[in-house]
Amino acid sequence: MDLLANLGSGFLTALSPTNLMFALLGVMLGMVVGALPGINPSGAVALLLPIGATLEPTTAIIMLAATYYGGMYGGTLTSVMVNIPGDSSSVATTFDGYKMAVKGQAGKALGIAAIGSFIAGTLAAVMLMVAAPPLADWAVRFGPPEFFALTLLGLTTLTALGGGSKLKAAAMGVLGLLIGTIGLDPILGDSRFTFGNINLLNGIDFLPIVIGLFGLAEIANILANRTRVEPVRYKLKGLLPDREDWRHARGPIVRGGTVGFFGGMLPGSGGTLSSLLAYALERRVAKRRRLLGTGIVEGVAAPESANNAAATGAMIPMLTLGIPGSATTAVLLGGLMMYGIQPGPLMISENPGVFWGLVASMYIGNTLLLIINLPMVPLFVKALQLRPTTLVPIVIGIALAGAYSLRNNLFDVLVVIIAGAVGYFLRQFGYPAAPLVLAMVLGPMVEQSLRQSLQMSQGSLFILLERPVSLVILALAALIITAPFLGGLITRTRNRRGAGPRVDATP
Amino acid sequence: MPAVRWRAAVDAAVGLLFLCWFLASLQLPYGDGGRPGPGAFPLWLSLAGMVLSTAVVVNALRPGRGARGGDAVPPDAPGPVPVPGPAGPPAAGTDDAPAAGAPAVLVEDADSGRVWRPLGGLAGLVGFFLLVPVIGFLASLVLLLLYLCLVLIRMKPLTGLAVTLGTAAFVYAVFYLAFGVPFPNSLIGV
Repeated sequence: MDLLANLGSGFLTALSPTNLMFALLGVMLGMVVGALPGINPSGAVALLLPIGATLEPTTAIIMLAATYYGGMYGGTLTSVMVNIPGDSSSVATTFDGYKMAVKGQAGKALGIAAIGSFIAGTLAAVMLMVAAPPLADWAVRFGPPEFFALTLLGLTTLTALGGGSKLKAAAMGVLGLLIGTIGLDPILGDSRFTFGNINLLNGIDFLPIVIGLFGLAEIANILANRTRVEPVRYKLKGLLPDREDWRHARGPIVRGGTVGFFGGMLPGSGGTLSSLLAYALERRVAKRRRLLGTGIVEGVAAPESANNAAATGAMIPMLTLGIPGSATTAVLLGGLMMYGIQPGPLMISENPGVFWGLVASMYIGNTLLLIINLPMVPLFVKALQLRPTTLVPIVIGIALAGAYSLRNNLFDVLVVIIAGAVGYFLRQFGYPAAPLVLAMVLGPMVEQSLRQSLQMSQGSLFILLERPVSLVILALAALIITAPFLGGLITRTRNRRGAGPRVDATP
Repeated sequence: MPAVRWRAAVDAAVGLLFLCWFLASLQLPYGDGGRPGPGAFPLWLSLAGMVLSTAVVVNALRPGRGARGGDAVPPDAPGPVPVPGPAGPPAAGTDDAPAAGAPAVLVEDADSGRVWRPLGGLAGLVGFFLLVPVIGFLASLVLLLLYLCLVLIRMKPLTGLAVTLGTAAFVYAVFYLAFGVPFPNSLIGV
C-alpha cells in the first residue's frame, strides 16, 4: 500500500505543469541529440546540467533523466535510417532495422521500436519501483568497509568503460581519482594540491570537467572529421505496426525488456551488452529466428526494448547505492550531488519527493516518448540531414555560458577549455574520458570509506575481508577484473587442446 | 594515426604527470597505519598510476604492438562511425541489401583540416577567455561564434550570422534573462 501511496505522490510531483514541461523538453532534446551523430546521451545530459542547477532539484533530475531516455531512443533513428548507430547501445538495432528501411518499412521499424521502448521502459520502471526500496533498506546497514568494497566494485567497471586499451582506461581512472583529491582533505581538512589558488580550495568541480570532456572534446572531434549524413531517400509510411507485426513483436519486447533491465544493473556498458544479448536470445527462441537479420520486427523490438529497459535498470545502483555504472549515470549522479542530494541508501528516506518523482517521471517520460515520437519521426529525419558542424557554435555557446553560470566564475570556464583540449588530445592517443569521470565521482567516497575503515581497524586491511558483505562484494570485484584474463586463458587452453589432434593428423 | 613514437611520448608524459603527483604527495603528511593522513591516498594512487603508465609504455614499445591501430581511436570516441555495410549477423534468408535504394551514407572530409581545425577552435576559445575581462562575456561570445561560423567552419555568411545571433540570443534569454546569471561586463561596464 505504501508503494502505491508513494507512487501516487510521485505522480503528483511529476505531473505538475513545470515538471511535465521540463520532462517534455528533456525527451525532445534527448531525441534530437541522440539522432545526431557526434553527441551521445552523456554529452547531452552534461550540457543540460547547468540549466538544471537553476531549477528545483526534482524538476532538474526529471529533465535530465528524460534527456537520457530520449537520447537512448534517438540513437535508434540513425540505426534504422542510415545504418549508423547513434550510440553503442543501438548497434544491434541496425541488424534488422536498416534492412526493414531498405525494404520500405522504415516507418514500421521506428514504430515498433517506439512501442517496444515504451512497454519495456514501463515494465522496467515497475521493477525499479519494487526492487529499489528494499535494496536501499538493506544497504542502510552498510558501514565504511562495505561502502569501500562497493566503490571498489564501481571502479572495476572503469576498464569496461574504456573499450580500447584496458591499461589506458585504468590510468585515466587513477587520474580521475587523483583529480578528486585536489582541495580540502575530507577528514582532516588540510589543503592538497591547491598551490595557493583559492579557486582550487573546494576542489575542481566535476561539472566543468564533464562539460569539457563530453561537450567540447566531442565538438573538437566533429570539427576534425567534419562528417555529415547524406539525405535519406526512404519513404516513411505506416508507422503503426499491424496485428501480425504486433503478434511477432510482443514476445521479444517482454524478453528484451527483462534482459535489458537486469543487464542495465550490471556496471559498465550495460545498455550495449543488453541489446546484443536480447538479440542473441531472439536468435535462439524466436519463432522466425531464421529470418533474423533480413529485416523483421523481432530484430528491432528485442534490442530496442532492451536498451530502454537498461537505462532504467542502470538507475538502481546509482539511486540505491550511490554507485554509477555508466558514464551517463555518473553525470546524473554528479548532477544530484550538485543539487544537494546524496544518492545512496538514505536517498529514498531522506528525499522521497525526488525519488518517487523520478520514478513517476519514468512512466511519464516513456509515455511522452511514444506520443511525440510517432508524429515527429519525419522531423527527426530532417534533423539527421543537418551538418554536425552546425552544432559546433551552438554547443560551444551553451557550454561556455553553462560553465560560467555554475558559480558565476570564469575559473570554471577555463577548466572547461582545458578539460576539452586535454580530453580531445588524450582521446586521440587512446585514453578514454568515461573512466576519468566515473572515478572523479567515486573518488571522494573511496577515500573517505577506506580511511574510516582503517581507523576502525587500527590500520588493518583485514577488516575488509572479515565482514561477510564486503568480502562477497570484493570477491565479485575480483571476479570482474580477472574474468577477461581467465576467459582468454580458458579459450587458449581449449584451442590448444583442440588444435593438437588436427596437427597430428596432418601428414 | 599518431606515429608509434608520438604515442610512446604521450604515454610517457602521462607517466610523468603521475610522477609529479607522487612527488607532490610526498610533501603532505602521510599519517600512520591506523590514521592515514592527507598524503596517503594520493601517494598510493600516483604510485598505481606510475605502474600503469609504465605498463602502457612497455606495451606500446613491444614489437608488433606499436603499429596496432586499435588504441588510436577508442570506441567511445564520437565522430565517424564505420558503416558496417550490409549490417548484422549472417542473414539466413534472402539478401536484399544490394537491391536497396540509398546506401548507408556517412561522408567524411579527408583533408589536412583534421589537425588544424580543432587547434583553431582551441585558439578561439583561448581568445574568448582573454577577451571576457576586456569586452565582457556576451560580446566575446558573439565574436567567438562569428569566428567559428565564418572562419573555421566556413558557413555561408547568412547562415553563419543566423547561427551566431540565434545562439547568442538563446544564451542571453535563457541564462541572463530567465536565470539571472550576472555575466561579466566590459571594462567600461557595458
